Amino acid sequence: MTDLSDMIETTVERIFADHLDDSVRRKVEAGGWHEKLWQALDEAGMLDALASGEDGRFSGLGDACTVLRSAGGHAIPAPVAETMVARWIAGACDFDLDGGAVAVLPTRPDTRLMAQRKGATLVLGGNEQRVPWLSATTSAVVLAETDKGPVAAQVNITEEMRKDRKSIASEPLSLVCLDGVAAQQWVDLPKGDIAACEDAPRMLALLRSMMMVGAAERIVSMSVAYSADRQQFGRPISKFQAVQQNLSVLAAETAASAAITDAAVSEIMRRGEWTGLADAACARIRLMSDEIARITHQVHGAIGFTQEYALHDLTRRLFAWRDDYGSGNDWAQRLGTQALNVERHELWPLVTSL
Amino acid sequence: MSWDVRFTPIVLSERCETLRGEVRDFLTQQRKAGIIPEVPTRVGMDYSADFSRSLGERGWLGWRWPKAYGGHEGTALERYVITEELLAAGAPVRAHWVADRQSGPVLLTFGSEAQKQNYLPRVAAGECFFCIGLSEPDSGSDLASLRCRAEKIDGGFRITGTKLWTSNAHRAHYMLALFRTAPATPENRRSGLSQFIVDLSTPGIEVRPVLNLAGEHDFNEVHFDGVEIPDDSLVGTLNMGWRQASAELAYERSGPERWLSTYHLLARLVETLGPDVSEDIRAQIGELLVDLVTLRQMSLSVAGMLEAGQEPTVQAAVVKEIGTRFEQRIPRVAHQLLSARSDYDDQDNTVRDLLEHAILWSPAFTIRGGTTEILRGIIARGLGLR
Repeated sequence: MTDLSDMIETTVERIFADHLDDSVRRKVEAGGWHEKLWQALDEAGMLDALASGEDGRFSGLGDACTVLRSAGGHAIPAPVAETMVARWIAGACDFDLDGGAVAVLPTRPDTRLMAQRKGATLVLGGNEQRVPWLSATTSAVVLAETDKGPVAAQVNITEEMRKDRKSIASEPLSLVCLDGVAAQQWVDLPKGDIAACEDAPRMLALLRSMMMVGAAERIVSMSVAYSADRQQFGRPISKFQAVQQNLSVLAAETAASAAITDAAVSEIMRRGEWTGLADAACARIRLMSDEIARITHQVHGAIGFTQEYALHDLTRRLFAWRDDYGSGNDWAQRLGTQALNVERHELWPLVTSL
Repeated sequence: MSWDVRFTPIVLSERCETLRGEVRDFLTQQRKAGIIPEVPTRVGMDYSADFSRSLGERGWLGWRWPKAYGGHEGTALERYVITEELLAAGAPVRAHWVADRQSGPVLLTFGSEAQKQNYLPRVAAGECFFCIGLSEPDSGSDLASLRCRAEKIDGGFRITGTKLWTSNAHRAHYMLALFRTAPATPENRRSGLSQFIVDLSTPGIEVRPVLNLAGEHDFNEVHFDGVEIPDDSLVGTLNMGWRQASAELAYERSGPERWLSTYHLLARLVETLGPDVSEDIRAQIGELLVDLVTLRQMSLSVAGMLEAGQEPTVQAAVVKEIGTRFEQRIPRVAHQLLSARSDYDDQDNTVRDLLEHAILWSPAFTIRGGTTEILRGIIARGLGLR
């Protein structure tokens, strides 16, 4: 870890200590918005972490991940990753965005949005998209294909475009169809640092993965601490081998998911382009979230199943976040497809090149 | 407490990638020459003293050791690259594996100058093979309970007892063994153990095969009936063998052999299925790839920590805990996807042969070199639970 990322972590941890407690999560779950937390993150430059990198389009990724790992550990009820990606694209395309939350589309790595140029106007087409936090925004950044190549656009979001519900973590989640909507601002791609339409959903997915890693790491710490504290049969439950074995699996699977995510981030920054390690990272934490939640709840017993105890803030977010920006299966399939297409003796060279 | 068992990402140097290319080219030649099978029908490492010698000639054994002892003064990451290429190609590396991986490094750390001069150059040349003398009939995971004893006699030691589950003892030249040299104390069961090199051609040693459930001769039972070995067989300090053997075990736990045992089955499975499969199957294969690349990054990270002089005991345990369960998952998925196919029972179905061999070997993966339960105990200790 560098000094700079230590500093970012200290700053963001202080913001969460000052502005993020249980009442904030409950308020957001009831449909509210916590402006103080948002302002604090924005004023400290945290929402611009991804956009602020100076050499190459992925150079801010490490800092963004430092913020989001911490945010995940605090079960943050705000679209920080989404706004980071929106500002990253907006920065490269010279879009004006206000200080509020911004959504990004498309939201799946295998989906393309279409758009049509009509003179100077860009009209979006396309299918329905599942967009976390859309109802907390009035604006979205969209990457789309046209018959003359890819474009980036900013569109205003209105209530009529959305079908809202709440996610399993009681956070905003919408289906949206942009068919026929005209962009407020748009540019041809590639421009600046944004290479292609795929950049948006996969960056969202990787950042969400890092939030899940942060949540899982916090779950490990909470589970270990609780097991050492909770006494049954005259001793801490952490002294029972059955409990220790469960906690070891929880810790091992979390460490493995963190390892591939860290490796993916490091490799993307080094290469300046996406790598198959990131496909693996996005798949692994999503596929493991079920097991991580299962074990921590088993260790915590009845208290973990209550509203008053903070574990559910993390486990419900794992359940919600694993469905965001491609499922574990979607991401695994990308690697599976690559593997199934190689010639004999070529699988290993594929593995070492990812 | 906070959870801080991290796996720092590793970037392989140009030198590593050049070396990978050299090893890969050599292995392709070996396959074309028929020394490595084109289509493997067995999992695990085959034994070929000739192949081990040819690796020694190329300078790929004793990679990290000083040149004074026949080594090449390379890095842990370079050695990692050599080993993963050998395993992924299905090269017959069994003969030298233990000597190169753990016996040599133990001698380098704890051995006398004479022992280093005597053994290491021959190991690095691929001419001198070791087996591991730890387990006994009543000592498996509970290694400290071992009873095979070495008594001090004039000019040496007299060994009495039995080692069991000793892979490769029938073909190795030496055993690096742990014997009891003093009674355990009530305070410390691990005291009174010492490490020795035993020349397996010494009179009084009887090596009997114990066939495994795949019908193969890998395990042995090794009897020592008052076998006399010279003073200079002692490795390191008398009665300090536990610490030395623990260091030895760390070498055993994080290498690519802990997650590549059934890799060839995955490769053949992918080849057999081909690109024309359902999304479900693509996801199933993808899940295996996800863990394969995850384990590879973790294993690389551990090699990086070893290179930096750290002792990544907990990380190594995590690699083996997840890696060996992954090795068992490949045959499970392969069986599910292959057994329903109409050609499954054909006489010449070589993928089926490989799958059946993998199924038969599977129970061993989560037992050998530290059981899953022991590894979870090590991780629990790392979490501060014991």
